[in-house]
Amino acid sequence: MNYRSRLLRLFTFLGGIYFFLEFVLPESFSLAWLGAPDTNITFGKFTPQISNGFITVGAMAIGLGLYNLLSIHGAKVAFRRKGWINSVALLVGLAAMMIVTSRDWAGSRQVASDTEQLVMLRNFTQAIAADEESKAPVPPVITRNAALLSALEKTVSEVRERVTSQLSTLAQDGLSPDTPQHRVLATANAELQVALTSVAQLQVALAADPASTSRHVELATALSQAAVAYRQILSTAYEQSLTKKVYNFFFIGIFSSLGTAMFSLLGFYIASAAYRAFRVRSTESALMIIAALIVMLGQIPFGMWIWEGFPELRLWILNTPSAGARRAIEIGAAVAGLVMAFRMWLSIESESFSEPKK
Amino acid sequence: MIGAIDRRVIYLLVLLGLSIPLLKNYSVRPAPIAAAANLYQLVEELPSANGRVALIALDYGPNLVAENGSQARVMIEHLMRRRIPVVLTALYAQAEPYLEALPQEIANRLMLEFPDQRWTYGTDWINLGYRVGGFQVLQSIAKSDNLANLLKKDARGNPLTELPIFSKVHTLKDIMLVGEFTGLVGMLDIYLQFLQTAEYRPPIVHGCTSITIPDAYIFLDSGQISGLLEGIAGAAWYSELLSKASPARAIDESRVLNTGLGVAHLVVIALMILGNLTMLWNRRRSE
Amino acid sequence: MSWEAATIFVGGLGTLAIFSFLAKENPFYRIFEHLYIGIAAGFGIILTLKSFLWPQILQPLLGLDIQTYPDGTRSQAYEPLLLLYIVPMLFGLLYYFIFSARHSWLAKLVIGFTLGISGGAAFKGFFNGTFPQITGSFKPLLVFSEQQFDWFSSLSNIVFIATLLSVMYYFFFSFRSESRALGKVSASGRWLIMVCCGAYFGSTVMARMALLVERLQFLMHDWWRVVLGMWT
Repeated sequence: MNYRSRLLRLFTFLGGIYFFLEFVLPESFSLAWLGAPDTNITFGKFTPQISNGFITVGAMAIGLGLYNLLSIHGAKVAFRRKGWINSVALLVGLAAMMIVTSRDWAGSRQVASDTEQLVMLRNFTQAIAADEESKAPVPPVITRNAALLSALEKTVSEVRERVTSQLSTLAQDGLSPDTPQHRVLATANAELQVALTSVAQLQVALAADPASTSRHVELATALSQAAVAYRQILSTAYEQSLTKKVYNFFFIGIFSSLGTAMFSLLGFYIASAAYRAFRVRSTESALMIIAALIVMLGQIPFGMWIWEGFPELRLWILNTPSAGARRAIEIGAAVAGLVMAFRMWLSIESESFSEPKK
Repeated sequence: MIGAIDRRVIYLLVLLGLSIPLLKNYSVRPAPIAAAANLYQLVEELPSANGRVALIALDYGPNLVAENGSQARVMIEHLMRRRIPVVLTALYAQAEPYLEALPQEIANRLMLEFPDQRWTYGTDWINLGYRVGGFQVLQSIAKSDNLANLLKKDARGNPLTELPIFSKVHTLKDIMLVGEFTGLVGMLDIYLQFLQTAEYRPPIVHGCTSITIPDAYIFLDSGQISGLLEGIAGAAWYSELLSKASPARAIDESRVLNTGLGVAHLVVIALMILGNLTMLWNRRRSE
Repeated sequence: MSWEAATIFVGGLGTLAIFSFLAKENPFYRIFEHLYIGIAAGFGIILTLKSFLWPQILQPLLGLDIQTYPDGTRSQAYEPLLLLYIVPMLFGLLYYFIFSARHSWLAKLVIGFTLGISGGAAFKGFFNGTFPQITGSFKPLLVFSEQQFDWFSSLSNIVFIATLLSVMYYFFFSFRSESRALGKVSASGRWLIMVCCGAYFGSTVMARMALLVERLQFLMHDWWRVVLGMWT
């Protein structure tokens, strides 16, 4: 066995060892038996971080599909091979959806980041009070409060302007006062104005007493309320934006419709299969047809018109013989799956990865 | 000998058979589905949230939206009516836009029904978005002692610590119900296998596509899932129960779809009978 | 035309293009099919970045989630352990060696690692997922409810267990017996699988037809309304 095969087996084993140990070891155990009585190991403590690492490994493969599509279909278009028009459609769809999804991402990030300003000021307010109490090595309270007041003035003014502009844009776009969105916006705006008024009053009080932190809790609460209302307004407004409408056009209009249509073709095929292939030729096929008919009639309203007992009979078939057979298959498949997983993890099933024999 | 009917004629028959009831918006009361009724009762009897949430996973794409989408719609509506906060997520990328659109649509409908009440993002529902990682995400959720820290932000980029819905949600124990809507093979299995700890396993309810109904029944029988919605038929019966409890509720399309589906079944049964009669006739003629 | 109307219109057009395949394969169908694949691919790539790589890895790694306050102080200190995320990122980049004839074995390391993750997790999956199935199969053969013998439930449980055992026996190819009695058990297992298959077929009809009914409903109501609106 050469070094590459060894390395491959090692990495395959390393991939699975964490989750295997995480399952077989107790949640927390002591190392007293190793001579370290005060040491407890909580093995699953870093599961989220380790899982993130594992997921990252897989996520780095996102470029593989993109490269493949671009190289295969790009070559078809470049060299005008058979079906190159279809490849153009594919590449146009790819590019368009990437742009549209990126724009949507940027739009929602902008909303989050705008709201984040108020949240940051709230956190700063809380930090000033906490650091003052704990005597942390930070700039003096007067300096920090001055910075806070200056930032508050700028941010509150930006928030008011932004909200006024958003509401007027929505009114111009024809958002009707009867709609739930309008009601949500109106309520959120009212709550925002109340919160900003509190902030303004507390700003005045703070300006009058810049060394104090007595009103910081109230100020933090008012900023929290303002942030919640502001987020509500910006999110609701974003849902009505052009970026969102274009995104919905591509996803719901094109992608979702095409996907549903493609799979709905199977409805025609199953009807054709029912006519051509579903023939009573033996006891087994007769049993299958009878079971199929009972299940079908039991799940539609018209079945009850024929006999009211069909739903109950259908339920009995699903709960009893069908479930019994399915469970037997499930248990068998699960045991086989476990054995295969074990063999794969220990690289006993490694023919597909080993170097071809020379 | 009677020859086989051309497949295009069969397609036309199917099309004609379905078009008539759909054009006339013909709808009849759906067949009662016991599992849907039991699930309705389970959600109806859930205690008040008290800071806990229901985790709803929409793991379906456009190919499954007709069934799973209808199921998710009625279930989320019921949870919202009961004022149980809903946290939406998906382990399947193609579900991402539905996570955003579906609860907003339901909230809008509820606000039209109840003009003096509000259902808002951040308080009544949030969207965690598509989460990459499959079972590892669920394992991490189960093991975490600070979910806001683990999951960090919602799909809109808002830190979870800033959202009122997450103020009392810290661990798996604060998830009072898990709803998994999928038709993908193996997806339900990973929720059953990994979203639990030794001390706590949240009740899991499942909305399955019709193909996986026989699979789902074995989990219902073993108690691994506490409730089941079977395809559109389950969603239609659940919708019927919701309408019975709230007479002012707007009629949704699941009843019309379910009726159309019933007609489709009759078409398929007719074709099965026709196929067998053709076979019998040809066999008799050749004898 | 509003964006909402355009969304419905193009959805209907795409649906009709796909349905045209029923008559015969045609360029109209092919173009929309390729459009669908392109959109699915483009969507998935950005989504992985948006949902995971940026908020969970890159943003914390680059310290972009740390707020800088107006006085220059920071909301939290940078956690140096986050730099460890560079390791899986670099390891994941080995996937791209699959395009190199000489170094493709490096890509196999990552693929093997990923398969190893699934292998290691399979144990927990089996014990948490399948054990309840096994324990749930031990149903009482005689059921009493409210002091009365429940015939129906008892019979159902007997049928369930008989089905389970006979189907399991049917699949035990390794231990085929020549006994007539066991042969009948195997045959009954096969028949009961047919009942299960019939249930599957009945359920599959509902699944497949649900999509078709939904599409026809969309075409006949939503789409047709938009088309009429365009012409009036």
